[in-house]
Amino acid sequence: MDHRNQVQMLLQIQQLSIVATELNLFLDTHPNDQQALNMFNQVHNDLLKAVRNYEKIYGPMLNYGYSPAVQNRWKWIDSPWPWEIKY
Amino acid sequence: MNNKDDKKPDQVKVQSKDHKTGAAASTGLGPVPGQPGGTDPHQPLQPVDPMYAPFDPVQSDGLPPYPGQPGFGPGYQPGKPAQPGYPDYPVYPGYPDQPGVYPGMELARAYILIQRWGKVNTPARALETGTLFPELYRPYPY
Repeated sequence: MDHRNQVQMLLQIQQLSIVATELNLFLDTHPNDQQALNMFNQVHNDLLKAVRNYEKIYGPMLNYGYSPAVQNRWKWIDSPWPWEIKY
Repeated sequence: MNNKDDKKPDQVKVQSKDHKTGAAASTGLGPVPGQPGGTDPHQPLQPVDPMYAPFDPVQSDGLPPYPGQPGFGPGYQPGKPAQPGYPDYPVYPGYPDQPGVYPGMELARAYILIQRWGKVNTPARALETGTLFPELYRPYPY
């Protein structure tokens, strides 16, 4: 199976994740920095959008209630495990 | 680093504060008036012995001596080989605080500059370099 689009979407999520992590750590020591707060909220929204887009096509990214079941079928068991994706 | 020289200014400050206010409230080293175990706030503050020692040594508790107690070693002294802090100091082979190991070397003080908000990496570069902040990637600009 060709995973190129899936890999691309996962890469975008990984990139937004590290930006959110870094802003999180910066804000731990700079809790009143408005520029960092604004960027964190922006990145949070972009990350949520990217994850929701991914889930619409490839199924839930998180289980046990942290991702909605947006298809009319339980996709958790269908989608490839991370080690099955050809990067 | 010489422990004795380091401690002196602190102890002088604490003692003079005790002498003035009659309590070590802000130092956490003595009873606080109005608190459990403290003095009655309606009673005039008792004058405190100026010889009050912040670290009242407990004798013969089986523990190694504290700094300032008899038996406590001289610690590091510039120009002399490193010495253990007390006579029964355990021997860690190769550890710097051993006589004759790394003679003339001192402990260091670490400090970290507070980061300031500046330009940030693109998400792609953040993932590649492992940080959102270009100033945290070698070579460091400051």
